[in-house]
Amino acid sequence: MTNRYTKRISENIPLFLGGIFMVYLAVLDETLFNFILDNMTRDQLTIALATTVASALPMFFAVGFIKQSFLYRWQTIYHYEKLLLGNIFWILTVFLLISILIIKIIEESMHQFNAPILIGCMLFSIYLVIRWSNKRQKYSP
Amino acid sequence: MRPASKQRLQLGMGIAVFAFAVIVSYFSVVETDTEDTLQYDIYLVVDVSGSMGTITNVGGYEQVTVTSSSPIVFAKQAALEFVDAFRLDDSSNHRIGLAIFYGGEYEPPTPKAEIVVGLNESSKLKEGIESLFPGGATAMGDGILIATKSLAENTRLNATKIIVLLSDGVSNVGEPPLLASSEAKENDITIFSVGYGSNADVMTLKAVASMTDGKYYDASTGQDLADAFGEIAGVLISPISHYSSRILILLAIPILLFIPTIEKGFTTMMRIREDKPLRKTESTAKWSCTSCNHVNRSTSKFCGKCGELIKTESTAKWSCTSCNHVNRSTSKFCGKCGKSKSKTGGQFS
Repeated sequence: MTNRYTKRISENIPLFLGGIFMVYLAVLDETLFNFILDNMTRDQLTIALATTVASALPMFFAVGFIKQSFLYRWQTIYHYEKLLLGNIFWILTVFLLISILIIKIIEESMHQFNAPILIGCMLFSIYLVIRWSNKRQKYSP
Repeated sequence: MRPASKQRLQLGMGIAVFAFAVIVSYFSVVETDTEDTLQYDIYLVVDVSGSMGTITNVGGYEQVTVTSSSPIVFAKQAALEFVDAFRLDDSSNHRIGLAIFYGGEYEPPTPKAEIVVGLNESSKLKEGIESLFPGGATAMGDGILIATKSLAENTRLNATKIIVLLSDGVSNVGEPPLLASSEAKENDITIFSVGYGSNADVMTLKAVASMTDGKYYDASTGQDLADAFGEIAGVLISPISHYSSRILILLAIPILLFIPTIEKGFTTMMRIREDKPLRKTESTAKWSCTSCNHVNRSTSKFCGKCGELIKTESTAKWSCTSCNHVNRSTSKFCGKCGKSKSKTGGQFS
């Protein structure tokens, strides 16, 4: 295997893992769902809205990271491709992760069962910031 | 179709898919009526430590008494309303028990927890609640453990196991509450915790609830306490099933975003089904050398192996079979005798 491929794989694995982590948040995590329901009156519309936001938001970003890592040949819609190329995509992701982290600590406090999610949110946010600063240095030193 | 129109069409299709998923998810959110479907085995685990009463100083000694403003009075009221919400009679699917936790009066206090009313004695429940009297330390972990043990031993096969935990202070004796709640989690028990007053150990109560997929409720007044118990009863009696709608949304997002890939895959699949080979244009087709048969790129002018000028059907000259005149590749008729290339069956040189 050439250096180019090794480099590409080592760059892609953290992004892919981050994407999988966000899929996990979309499928199993109830933080955003509970947060929305707690702050609104509980009816069918609110529940549908909370479900949509809680699962669609992390999934929206998860698809982007998985696509950027190993499915880069798979084409997404034009506007999403444009979003992926800009900085706004990772900024929004970091914002979402930090929000989940803060809500989780306030609502549930820290303990051994939610520690993996808290650590995951923190590590992936830090990784994204480091990746962005490296990229920035590379293109505008 | 112009690229801009295609992009807009794809975006529109994506939004349509997502809107469809949201609409279906709205209708698939169901408030399940559990009267006939679900069974609950519930333990009310109540803190009856000294702080739940009113502490007075009598002859230099602290004495716990109960007045109309004592927390235990509000706790009893809230517990009775909670029990009423489940309408426990002979036909009811649900069973409710009562456990308490406290600590010994003397230093160091010994942790104490006991079952006041078992799951099979629902008729004595209100009597048991009325009989509660505060005193001693707070052994929250032991309270959770004793209820967990009773639920694990006496529960029915299809019953959902629940603990409703009420406390107004910090656990200071006995088993650590987090350790006890991990035991509850292992037994598939969900804990709903309620912290009463400003001295409640909110962090621990939150952790206990979150660990077991339950929820924490904060109550600063007696009315808040009744509301919290009422809300827990509401959640249990009419739970929401939103998982089908969640799955729908989760599937809709990748479909929305990967529409171009799906479209491409669909087109390829249709072509394969119709047995049509993928179109290969002249500009992308590879050339094989006439002298060495080496396959070269479409853009190559010379053979990569033998260096010959590539002669293919489109570039090679042809000789007329009747007069042997060598004609240009583009000529359709012989330049000497005027015969047609197709009729003479001109041979490529």
